[in-house]
Amino acid sequence: MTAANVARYHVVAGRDVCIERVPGATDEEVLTYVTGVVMGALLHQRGVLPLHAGAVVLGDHAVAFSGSGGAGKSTLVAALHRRGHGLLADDVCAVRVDDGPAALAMPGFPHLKLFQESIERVGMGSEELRRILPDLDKYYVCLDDDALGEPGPLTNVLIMNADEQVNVASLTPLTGREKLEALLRATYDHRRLDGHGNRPAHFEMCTRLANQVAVHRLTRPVDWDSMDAVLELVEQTVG
Amino acid sequence: MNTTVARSGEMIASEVDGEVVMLGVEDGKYYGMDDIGSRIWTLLDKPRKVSELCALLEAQYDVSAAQCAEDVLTFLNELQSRKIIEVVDDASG
Repeated sequence: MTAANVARYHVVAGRDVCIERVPGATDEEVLTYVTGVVMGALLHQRGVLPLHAGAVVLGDHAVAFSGSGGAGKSTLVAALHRRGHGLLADDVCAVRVDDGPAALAMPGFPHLKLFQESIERVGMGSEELRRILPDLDKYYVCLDDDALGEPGPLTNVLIMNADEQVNVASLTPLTGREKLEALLRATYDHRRLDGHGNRPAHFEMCTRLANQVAVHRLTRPVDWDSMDAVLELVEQTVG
Repeated sequence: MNTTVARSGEMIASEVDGEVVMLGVEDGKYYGMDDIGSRIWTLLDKPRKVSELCALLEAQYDVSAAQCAEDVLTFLNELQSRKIIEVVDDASG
């Protein structure tokens, strides 16, 4: 795959990544894609489902938070982690889906990618932070390796969205087609699946996952002043 | 109505909570079936005559034979145009 003006990435056999850097591209730019789309491709090649989601350990199981950009996945996951829940993933959540009774959410990178505003809101990052890209107000908040939770059975996937029209957060269960479609769309880089050559395998994994997890739409007020209420809702209903 | 239809083999079908979703192997598109569509797909677990499909559906849904035949034929034509089903044996000609 190609990141314009940055690099070309070749991912082979779910194991090797070859990077052809464009002259002038910085380390930060090159690495941004490695932790994202390259990792997604690698996981696809290994037959592991990469969700575009953050995830934490709640009690004895794992919960993933998906949603499009701006929905608040990273902020919510950071806030939950601050409340003592083990972090599993921030952006790419690796899920092992097989014939067993439960899907398994695996721990990923021990860092969060947050906007300055979110960092302040969840009370993190008093130490030096590293910018993700020079012209973006987003930073890596690096955590100790022991901040990562253990792999856990994935029981819930929450699809987040921020709605201007609501004042109170709510959870709506998804079933049937809607549920499967939500998981297909929650897959990392799902529009590029044909390039990975395994759309049928992905479809079967999502079907199996749909029969193993509960999926809800989590609608939150746009204003994060309601964060405590959202956290309590999540901890009480899917914790 | 005497035509026999069958699943085309072009689709990978999945079921979640009784609703059928399919992936077209060749076109890479997803197709979702509503309640009745899912039922028809399930009934096509083996090739069936259109008349047989209608009889089975009439037994299950509150619908007249004429209405059922019309709706089913329209639906099957749609499925055929998308290569989801194929005609196995056209006994009308």
